[in-house]
Amino acid sequence: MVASGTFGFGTEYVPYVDLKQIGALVLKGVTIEARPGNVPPRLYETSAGILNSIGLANPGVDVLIAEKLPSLLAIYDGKIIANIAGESVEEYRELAGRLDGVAGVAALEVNISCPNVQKGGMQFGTDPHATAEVVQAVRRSSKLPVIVKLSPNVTSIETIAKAAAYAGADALSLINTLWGMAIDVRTQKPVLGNITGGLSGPAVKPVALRAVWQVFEAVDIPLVGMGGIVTASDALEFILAGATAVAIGTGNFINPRSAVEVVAGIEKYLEERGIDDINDLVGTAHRWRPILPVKTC
Amino acid sequence: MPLYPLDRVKRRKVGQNLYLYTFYLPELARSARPGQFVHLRLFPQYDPLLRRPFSIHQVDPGRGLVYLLLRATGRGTSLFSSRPFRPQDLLGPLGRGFTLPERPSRVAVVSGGMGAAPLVFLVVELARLGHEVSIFAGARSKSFFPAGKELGRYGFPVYPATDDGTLGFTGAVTELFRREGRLFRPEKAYACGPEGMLRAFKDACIELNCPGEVSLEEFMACGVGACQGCAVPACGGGEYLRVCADGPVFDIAEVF
Repeated sequence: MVASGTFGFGTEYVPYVDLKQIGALVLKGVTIEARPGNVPPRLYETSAGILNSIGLANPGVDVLIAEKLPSLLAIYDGKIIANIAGESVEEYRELAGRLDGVAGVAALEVNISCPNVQKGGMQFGTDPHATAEVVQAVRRSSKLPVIVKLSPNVTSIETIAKAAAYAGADALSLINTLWGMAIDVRTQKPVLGNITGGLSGPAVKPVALRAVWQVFEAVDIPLVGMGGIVTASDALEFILAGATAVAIGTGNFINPRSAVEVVAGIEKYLEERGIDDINDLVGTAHRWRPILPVKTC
Repeated sequence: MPLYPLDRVKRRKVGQNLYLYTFYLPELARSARPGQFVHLRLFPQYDPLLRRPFSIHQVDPGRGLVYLLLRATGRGTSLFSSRPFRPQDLLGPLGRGFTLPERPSRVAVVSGGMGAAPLVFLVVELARLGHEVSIFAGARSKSFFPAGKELGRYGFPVYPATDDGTLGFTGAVTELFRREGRLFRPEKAYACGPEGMLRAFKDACIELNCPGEVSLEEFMACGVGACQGCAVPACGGGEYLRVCADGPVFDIAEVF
């Protein structure tokens, strides 16, 4: 699937990629009211990555329902996942309620991990109690599958993962961006208008993989792995680490056909090894445990 | 599908840190409009990561060629211009281009430094459509005047301005435009260049009571209007406009 925030509301990439070949589109996060987003600059390239401080710029849930979804449904019949972000538990509850039963929405992804908003987002996802409150509120307001998107900017991601799982999450997606920044030595000021932003791209893959590895051992619900995936090989690392599905975010900027090529690459890998069911690969890397301590000279 | 792999590309150095790239892309050469840009993946590796946007400098639809004029300023462009190059692919044509007047008019084209890059394409179109054009081209110095000669190839007068006075008017090109504009009385004006210059251009247009368009630039990630990364504040505040999709060309009333 494609990660929230990198694929707009689906229609922008139509000239460049065949949407039908992408399993699910996770749309840009919506809030109750429209948000203009943060002061520019909102983007900065880093080594093998990017910092973004978009700030959840979005037209609001009403426009999503009235305009964006119908436009997308006219050209896409795969799964559409709506991403929701609130500043309070009440807002998450309301968003979930509004999207329940809306034509075309196959699942909700709960954004408790955006580092670019003053209130909400990551503030919830760094606290297991707040996480549980939000997930419970969403769970009770919607019959849709609930996927909770985790932040890596925590001491113990397993703790947050467990809180979300116990509160009723059907699945977890991880990771959101790493909290970071850059400084312009010419002007002697932070580069981003919002000072800090979220780091994504190949640079974060090792962190994302570690998070998926740990969470896989902590919960039983399925995981959507993301963080620096560009190629099929990257995606397979996440699957072996414990992800049932993967999402491509920044990779879309490098190659709009990433998602399609990843699917093709995974199929080839399965074929080459005579594996019938991709689910046989999920978490397989965990099966390796040395029986005896490894001796070093 | 406007995602073009790149197999035939040439590079030629045309000035200090200045390079002209020629791509064989017949479909793009035919479909591109002045003011649009391409989003180029410079390298196969992940560092530098992002594509780089470049305005379309010129096209030759007959021969299927697209030209980009690049200055090697940052990490990506410097690396790209300093070694054997293997650009991967490009997206394009992207963005909203310049809107040309419907009937032949008096048009001013105001260029600041590398702003000349997309304006050459515009000038070619204006010539083809029979407009009466005056070109005001500004640069820091005679020694670095991107596309200076190129602008003058289409039969229109070019009035240069340099910061150091080594060529033409000494001072800001927008000042030259303002003064000459009072006599020339343009019915439409277009500008591309650094932000400060474009703001001065907007003021000059307002004074001359002349409708104007500017071409902006910003760091971009997706280039197609999905990520909201290239947003600039709309005039009047409150809202943001995407340089890649709502622009890069904007009416002067929309921005600053």
